[in-house]
Amino acid sequence: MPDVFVVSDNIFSPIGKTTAENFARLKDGASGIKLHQNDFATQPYYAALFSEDVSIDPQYTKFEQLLISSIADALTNSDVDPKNKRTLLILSTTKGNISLLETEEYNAGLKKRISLPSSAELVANHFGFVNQPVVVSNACISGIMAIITGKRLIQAGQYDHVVVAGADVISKFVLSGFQAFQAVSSQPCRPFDAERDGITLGEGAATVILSNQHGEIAIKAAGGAVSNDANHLSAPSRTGQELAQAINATLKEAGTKEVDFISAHGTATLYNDEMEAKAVNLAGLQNVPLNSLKGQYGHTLGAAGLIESVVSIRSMREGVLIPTMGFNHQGTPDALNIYKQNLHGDYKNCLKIASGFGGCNAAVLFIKE
Amino acid sequence: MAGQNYITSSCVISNNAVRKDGRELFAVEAGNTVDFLTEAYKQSGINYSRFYKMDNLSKLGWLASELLLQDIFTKENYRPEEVGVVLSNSNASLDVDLRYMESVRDIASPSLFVYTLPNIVTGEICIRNGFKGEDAFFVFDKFNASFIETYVSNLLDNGNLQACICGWVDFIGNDYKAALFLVEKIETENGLPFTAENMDKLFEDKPKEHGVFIAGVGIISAIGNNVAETLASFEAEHAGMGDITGMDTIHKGELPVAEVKLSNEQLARMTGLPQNISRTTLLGLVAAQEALQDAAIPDIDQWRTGFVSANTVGGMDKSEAFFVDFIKDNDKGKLRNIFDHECGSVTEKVAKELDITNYMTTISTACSSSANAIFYAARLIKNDVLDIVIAGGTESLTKFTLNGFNTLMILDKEFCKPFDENRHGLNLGEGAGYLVLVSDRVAETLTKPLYCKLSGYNNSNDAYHQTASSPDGTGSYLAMEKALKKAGLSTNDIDYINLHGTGTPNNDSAEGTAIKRLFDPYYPPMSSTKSFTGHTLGASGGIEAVFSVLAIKHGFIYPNLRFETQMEELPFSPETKFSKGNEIDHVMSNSFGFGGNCTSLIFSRI
Repeated sequence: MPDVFVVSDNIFSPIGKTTAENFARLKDGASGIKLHQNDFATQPYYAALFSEDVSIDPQYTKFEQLLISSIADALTNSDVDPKNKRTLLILSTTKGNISLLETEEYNAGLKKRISLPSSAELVANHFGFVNQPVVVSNACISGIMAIITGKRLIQAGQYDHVVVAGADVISKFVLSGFQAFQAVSSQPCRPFDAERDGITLGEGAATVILSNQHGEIAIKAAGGAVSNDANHLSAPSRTGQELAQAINATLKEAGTKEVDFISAHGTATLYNDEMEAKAVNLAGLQNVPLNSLKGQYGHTLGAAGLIESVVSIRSMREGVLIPTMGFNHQGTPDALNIYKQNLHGDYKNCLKIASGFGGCNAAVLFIKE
Repeated sequence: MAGQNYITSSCVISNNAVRKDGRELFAVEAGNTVDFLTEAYKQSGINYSRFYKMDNLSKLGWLASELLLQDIFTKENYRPEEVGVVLSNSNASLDVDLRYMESVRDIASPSLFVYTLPNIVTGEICIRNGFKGEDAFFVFDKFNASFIETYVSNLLDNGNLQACICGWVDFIGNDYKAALFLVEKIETENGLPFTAENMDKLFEDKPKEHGVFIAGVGIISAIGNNVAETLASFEAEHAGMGDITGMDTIHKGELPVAEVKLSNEQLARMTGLPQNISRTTLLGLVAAQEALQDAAIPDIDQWRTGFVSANTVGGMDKSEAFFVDFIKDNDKGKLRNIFDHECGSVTEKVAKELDITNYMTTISTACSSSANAIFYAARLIKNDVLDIVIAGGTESLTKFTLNGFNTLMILDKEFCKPFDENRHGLNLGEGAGYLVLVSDRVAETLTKPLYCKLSGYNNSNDAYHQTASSPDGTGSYLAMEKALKKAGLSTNDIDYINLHGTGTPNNDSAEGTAIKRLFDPYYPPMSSTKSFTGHTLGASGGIEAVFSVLAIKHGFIYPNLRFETQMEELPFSPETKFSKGNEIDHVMSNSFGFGGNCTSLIFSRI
């Protein structure tokens, strides 16, 4: 089976428009989370939102514009040709254009405009992708799942290159839902901290370009797996066994037990972080440096797995690990190695994990060769 | 290396029926899709209290997974992490998204919000069965069997999974479909190799129904005595109305009508029938003969052939003549002139001339009569009662109908203006129109190309008033909506609507409102050909079915003559120019009648 490499990437977020810009600001301790007051909620709320207009062309919605901006930047930094019939586009999102329901009257035209295949077609046509795009919508693991899907399709010999992009936009629909769940933090979220009290939402996009050829520094997507808790739709597993199962399957596929650092999901809800700590312990990785980037980006839903993967890949390239913003005191019964300052070193293996509604868990391992 | 993978079970839920491994398990009579889910759940005999908590998408997917696994899947054969669920659809969770958005106006509902992710349905299936392997959800505009095949084969071949439930589950408003496949590495008695082709075949599998194709058309009306003359009149935009010439009535010169331009003597000579026969019969035979000749079915005797004909007026023209003498003296008047007074007699006479003896029947449901005749003929073919049916209707102008409509005050003293803001009523017309409908078995033997197929039809009642349509066009709306559903089409697929469009203020307002409700915001071209032929009552559905069939064959869109001003209440207006060479794949033909009897037919390119 051919190896699959990450050959280019982008993060388009409130923190920055390119991976380099994002990473430089993260190293300086930046966060995109601010207090906002708008029509989405009666009370002010914390979130990481774009303060500036991101529009490039009125025919695209904000969701599509984010995708296009992110993909465009990632493509300029690679040789991958979207018009090549061996190139595929995979999109990851949870809610896509759902905010249109808040401002437009629902009818057959809007139904089509909202549908994810319509957005996928518009974005694909913008760049001239010739293959029908694939859309992954698997709750908060969508981004990782999209990377795993791309990797598998290259390994199966179906494509040589896959452009994987994800985005979500925060609107009344999403904010009101998490608020109805009492899941939104009253402060900027504090992953894994003893004082954590819920998530902070964020918006953004990210892109990872996968290929069966590699550039100067080879970053390999070496393994990936998905599992289900089969327990509860909106609460994570009580044991963390299923996420541990995905981690173990990922390491087995990659053929290594070495993990130099972990990029956790770390949403800062009581139960997610507790479950993740259990799973990391079950996998025997409790001493490995671990972070959550939700304190910087908020929970960017369908983009989260991609944004956090891109930051992790950059960490391996630059030898700098970004700390968990908002973390002070260990708040999970099972201990983790959560650091508070930038770490410096040679990092070769990065495990990225996530979990989501529906009981889904995913893991992917990146190796720098 | 990977071994072979097999589809060991399949379950398809669509069109109010549940099919397992290609065979129908049960069908459910249900008014709407939500009732369908509840009824299907009850019929399945499965008891699972979580069912009632689920959103529609989860209910559908969960139910399909239960029936998929029933009697075939042995959970004990696998460890929890060896079984996965990989699903897809086109509308993600939009059905519940809309419901959740409704709740946000009041108090955002957390129990709805949790379902606003499409992969929740996979979560429900995993929770029910304790499956802990990979679950994934993809969104495509239509079922992408080859992607699912690649993705799931990869999971099985690489040892990630030993068994996988995969396929499609989509639910939005009135549309739903589930097609789930159980894929395992074991070969079973009914198992099929796991390929995209086999999934597609099971996905498309429909209940066994014979297709209904149109092999011939025949017509006579005020704009022509056959198909060729009719088309020439359309192209010249030449209407058939004029002063009354055929009837002795006080309304001569006052009310325009659309008469067939042949006398009874001429019609009798054409058909070889005696002159004392009803004009309704004469007109019917002319058009039915043309249709049958047009179909040119060789060895027609080897097939079961029927004649389903509609009319409302029967031999009233002859009865009226008889009545003049009879009223003066009850001993006067020739009884042989009224022997085909009743509607059925018209059908019998024509059937006899056509040499059709297997089956004949008459339908008389006012202005939807001959559309219903075509509808009924289709069902006779679909249910394997007949192989060929000549179906349509005939009508002649009589004083009876003229005076009757005049008392209702719905006749226009000018040439009618359907769908115009300043319309004043209808003009009566006469004529006949028939289709030759054939089964797929007959179609296979024909060398002459078929015109099209009859893909959808529905009859619904307005349940409002005997001679008026409801303001929001309830019956018309239901007939159109359900005909589309029967055809498996959406409003966007319709390329032309042949309107009922009588020109009365009431009909056009109700029909227009129903179209607005159903089609908004995208309206196909539409027109009322009654602006050419007048309203031929019991023949109109047949005549307009002929127009619809010819529209597909030649790419015609007919104009709505004399249209000037768009109706204030409607956001659309009819076509005003004749055009040909249009890409027309699907035509809807409306016929709505007194008694609230509403019928829509849909003809589709083959």
